[in-house]
Amino acid sequence: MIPVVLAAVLSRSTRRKQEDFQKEALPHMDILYNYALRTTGNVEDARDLLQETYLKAYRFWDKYEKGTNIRAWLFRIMKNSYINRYRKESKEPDKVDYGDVENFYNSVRAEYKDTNDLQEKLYRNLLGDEVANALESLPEDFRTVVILCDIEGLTYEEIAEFIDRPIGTVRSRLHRGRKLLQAKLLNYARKQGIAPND
Amino acid sequence: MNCFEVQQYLLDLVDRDIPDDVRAAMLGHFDLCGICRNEYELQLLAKKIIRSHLSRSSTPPHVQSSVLAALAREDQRSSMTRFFSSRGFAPAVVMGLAAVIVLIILNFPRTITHDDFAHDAANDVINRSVQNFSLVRSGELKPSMVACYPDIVVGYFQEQGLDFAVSVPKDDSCDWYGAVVSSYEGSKEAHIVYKRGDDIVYVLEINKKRVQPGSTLSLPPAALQSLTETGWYTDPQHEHCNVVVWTNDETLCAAVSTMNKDRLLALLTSSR
Repeated sequence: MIPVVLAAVLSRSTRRKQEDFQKEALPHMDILYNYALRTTGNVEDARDLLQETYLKAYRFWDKYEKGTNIRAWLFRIMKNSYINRYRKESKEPDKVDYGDVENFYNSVRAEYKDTNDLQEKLYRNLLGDEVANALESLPEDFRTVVILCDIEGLTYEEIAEFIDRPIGTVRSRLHRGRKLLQAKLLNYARKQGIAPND
Repeated sequence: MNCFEVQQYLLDLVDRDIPDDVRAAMLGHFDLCGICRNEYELQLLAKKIIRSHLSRSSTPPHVQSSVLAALAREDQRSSMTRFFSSRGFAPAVVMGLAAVIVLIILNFPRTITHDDFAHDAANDVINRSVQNFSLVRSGELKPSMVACYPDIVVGYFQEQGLDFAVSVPKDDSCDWYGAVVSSYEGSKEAHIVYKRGDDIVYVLEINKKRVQPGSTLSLPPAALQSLTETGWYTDPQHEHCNVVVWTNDETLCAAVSTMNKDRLLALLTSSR
């Protein structure tokens, strides 16, 4: 016995919307997925975030101004969805404690005598998971620009449009984000005996 | 260049193209200033570590399907919302639709008439395919979702918990693809409708195990033999439509259409 379901009538406008969305929004799935994965840290949450982003984008497709930066528009939807999701789960994204960052920054500056030596050791011994964990643990503002620049290869101008901040802010966050990441990796390397303690 | 100027251009040296003379001036400064050099090398090192350990990955197929299926459901939901909120909608329409549903439920499977097909068993896959094709043409069997792209249809089926893979080949001449899942004798079946201009191609897809001897469905011995030998079977016993049966891994597919047999075969074989 077939449980007959009422037909979904596909109007002409719906079809045009489907076609436009398929053509313009779906090709950017990879960049969104990568950001979601690096932000949430696991495939399931990344999938949920990606799905939520595309659903919202589809529902509000008429709000998208054709000819503007679709990737930035989608990215902002994803970022807002991520923040809202945390709020719903009574958690908040990491607050950026600039004092902590500055402390890391200064300690790293003081400690590194020869970065080439450290580079060799870190390169040879670090695993992808360790780098991923360190990246995931960065405050969100920093993590975002590091992901967009160093993994996605976006330009400063594109990142500025994505996060809706001036290029100066992009530079500052990138600079500090990388420093903080390295400090975390250095701590890890020391604990593992990969890097010296002094 | 002094330290202040170098700090201004430090990230540009790591991430962007800068004029040769600026680059040379910065590198010259690094020979004299260990702090700026370390600063530069740390930025460069962080970038290299990230790039070498965290490569950009493609969206996994199951994630992609999940997103496409969600979009398909959204289409279905919004279409239904528009339909039910339209001005012409009235309680009488609801009653009418309910009556149609009841009639279909009561009449399915319909009595097989000899004019439609020559197979005898009521659980014969070809019989049921032809019967469903008639229901599709009369509008009694309607898809639960309609999409312009086969990926969306595949995504829909992947969400339905089927125990076999449904393939929906891309057909450039197809106006739209329709899909619905039903249960028969406790097993799920996939129904796909291809609308190609004035032609309709209906395809029933089921788990191949269900036509094994002793199972709930059957096929004529000639069809089973041909499928075993070639993977294809064209049924000769229909005047008003053409039936093609084939297997695709664990899936058994039966296509029915009024299309000329050669065109139908060409479509099915070229799209596989």
